[in-house]
Amino acid sequence: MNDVSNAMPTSGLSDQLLGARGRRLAIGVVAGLVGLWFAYLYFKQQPRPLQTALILGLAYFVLVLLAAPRRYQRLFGLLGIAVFFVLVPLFMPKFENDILSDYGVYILAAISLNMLIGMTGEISLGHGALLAIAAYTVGIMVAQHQVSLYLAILVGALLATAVGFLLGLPSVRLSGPYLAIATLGLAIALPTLGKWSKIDKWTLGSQGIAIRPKFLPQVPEPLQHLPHRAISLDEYKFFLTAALVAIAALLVWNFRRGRIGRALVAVRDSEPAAQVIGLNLARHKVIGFMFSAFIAGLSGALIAYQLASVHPDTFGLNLSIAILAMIVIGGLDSILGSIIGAVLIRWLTLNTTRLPAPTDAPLLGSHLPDQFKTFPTYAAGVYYGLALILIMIFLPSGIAGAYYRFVRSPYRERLFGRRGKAAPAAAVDELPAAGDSAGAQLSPPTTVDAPREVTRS
Amino acid sequence: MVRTRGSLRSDQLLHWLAQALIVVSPLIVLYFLLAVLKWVFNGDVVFDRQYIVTGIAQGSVYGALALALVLIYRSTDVINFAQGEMAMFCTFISWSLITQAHWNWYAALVGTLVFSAIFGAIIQRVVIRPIENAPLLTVVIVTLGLFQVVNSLGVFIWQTQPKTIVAPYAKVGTKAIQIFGASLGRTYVGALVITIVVMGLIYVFFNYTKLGLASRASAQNPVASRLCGVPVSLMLTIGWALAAMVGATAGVVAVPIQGLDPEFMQGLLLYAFAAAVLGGLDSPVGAVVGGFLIGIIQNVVGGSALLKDIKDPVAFVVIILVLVVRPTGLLGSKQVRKV
Repeated sequence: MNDVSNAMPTSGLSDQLLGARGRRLAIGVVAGLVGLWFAYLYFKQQPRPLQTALILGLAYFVLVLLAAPRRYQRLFGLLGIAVFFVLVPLFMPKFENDILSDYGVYILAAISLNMLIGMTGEISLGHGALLAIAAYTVGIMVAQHQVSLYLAILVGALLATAVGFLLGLPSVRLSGPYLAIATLGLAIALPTLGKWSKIDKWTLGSQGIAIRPKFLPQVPEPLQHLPHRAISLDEYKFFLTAALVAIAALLVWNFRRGRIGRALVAVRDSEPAAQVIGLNLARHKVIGFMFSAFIAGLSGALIAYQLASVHPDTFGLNLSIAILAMIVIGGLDSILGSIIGAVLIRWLTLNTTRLPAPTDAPLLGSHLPDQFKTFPTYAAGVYYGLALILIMIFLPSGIAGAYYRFVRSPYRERLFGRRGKAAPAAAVDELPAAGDSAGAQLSPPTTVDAPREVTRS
Repeated sequence: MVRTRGSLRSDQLLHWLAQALIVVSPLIVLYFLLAVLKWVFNGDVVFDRQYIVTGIAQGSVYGALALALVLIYRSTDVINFAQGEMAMFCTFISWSLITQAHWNWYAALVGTLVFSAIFGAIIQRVVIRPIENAPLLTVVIVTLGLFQVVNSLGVFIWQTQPKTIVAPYAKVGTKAIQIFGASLGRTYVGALVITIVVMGLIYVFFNYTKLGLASRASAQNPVASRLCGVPVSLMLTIGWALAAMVGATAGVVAVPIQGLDPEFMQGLLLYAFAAAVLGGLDSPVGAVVGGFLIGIIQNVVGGSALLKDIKDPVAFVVIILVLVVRPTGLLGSKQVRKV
């Protein structure tokens, strides 16, 4: 089944600017520069344990990608992820585990939005609202009514699903720009709604809800008496998040391959065609919205849990755009893309003070006024805003799309001399040529076997 | 816009009446809604004439920003989510000109307009041109990326402390103007006058100049206009420059009313979107009318103790209602979907 590239042009756009070869070159140069920059950042300052672990993990994946036979790649990759997530938190100090959990939460949010935009093609810029509903539910239930957190997470996610249903209803009638405008309105309006004085009995207005630690769950009894060492609270927090991420990723992956997922993709690619084959557009769009909202709700509930507070300004337009940036940079309609994008954007956001300020620039930097020396906390927006624009122009399928294209491309085979699907090509060669024209159509296996689009088995 | 010359025919009169009815229909709906609310909340919500006058003045700012959105949407089919932030950036330029370079306010206004025209043209050439024929999602994401970049740059350069500019028409000690039994502050009067002048200039430009004619032609049918010798891509650039200028005007006159900080355009943008949607996304007149209506709605809602702090969500509700009830807006033309 064709991926995003069907809905979005893979060439065309940038071909207008550079041509296919120029684009490849540009991507290579940009990737190289980004890599160099990362290396510079890494060696500039005292490395932190989490960064070392992340870089080791990255090296492992590159190794698997380059060296392992293709049929084992997925196995090795998933194995690597599992081992990484079970082992790494055990060796990290508390604040690094908190950062890992933070990555997990945003991965969930990105998976949710990617499900909506990538899979169903509906544009939602107000995803922060769904997160907010669940976060407020958790805040109110746990902080004010001392309900168990686990129950609150579930209720929050279900409430978000209900709101997703309500959001999905207008989406049936609205299309394209109108839906984007409506959801953008929601994103801008939401923080104000959280500060409405008539409901600040529950939401506590602009002050936000703080959840006292004694209402949050402790590490369960069995995990406190493990043979060698007890699981600490931050590790438990991380494992809880990781488990939810894994479950959500599995659910979405399965959903994408199932009947409704395929129907949603059909609706995305061509509404009239989907209608012709008898799909109920309204029903499928609403289902897509609800499912996405459920996962967004999980993410929002976990945000409330991790910050131990809920504040209306957390869920404004900036959050919605950040999530959008995650999925676009990572790659639309791809779980791997959601993960890559979320980690990348959160890394950027959390490390803005470590980013080079404009005064560090080689030639002009020293002439800039002093105000450019300090990097305000959310100036990471400059970087990911630029990344959004550049990625959309030059690499519309995102990092994951580029990765899949590389994995399936003939370059890789040329580099490492491994032919993935040699058998059918040989079979074609052995066929007695019925005619030159037929042979010419079939004979170069690379043209058949080198899909420009990302394909999934 | 079809204009027939000659005597007024009765069906034309009917058509105008219908249009007028459509335009005031939101007010009628609002009036009945408020009557119900009044009954429910014991007279908390009132439809005072003060709100209407202030609303029209404030609505002119929304109308101008909405006009900028509509100009771009009509010519390039792009919903420019970065419009507000571009205006914010230009407004900060005017702040710098006035307080740091000590320019006269009016000179700074002109300087800002020149800057914004160049700014808009550059953005169109560099960012929008490569995605001209791209699918909607690409366009939305690119303009949102632009939003983020410009917003962060604004924070970066001018920091987050709120600033203010004192406009010469609203110096300390000037008195409010009495009009229709309501008093209107000088900041509002200035905003109203300046935006109406700018809108008039835009109208004259599009209807009475050759360049405007060429712009309209290239918006309506790019291929045919190119065949007739209209430099379509230049026209698109000019359209963006114009829109940026209109947006910048809205920003500059909004500052004396509500102050200046890098986030100040987000709320305005929401109202501008509501205005554009209410008036019809492809109708410039609709955008202005929608701006006035949204201004009135906002003020009436803001006047009630109950709904005072949720004015922004009310704009969102207006957007949703319009899109669900009448997606083309009050004056927009019907969209034909190609399959």
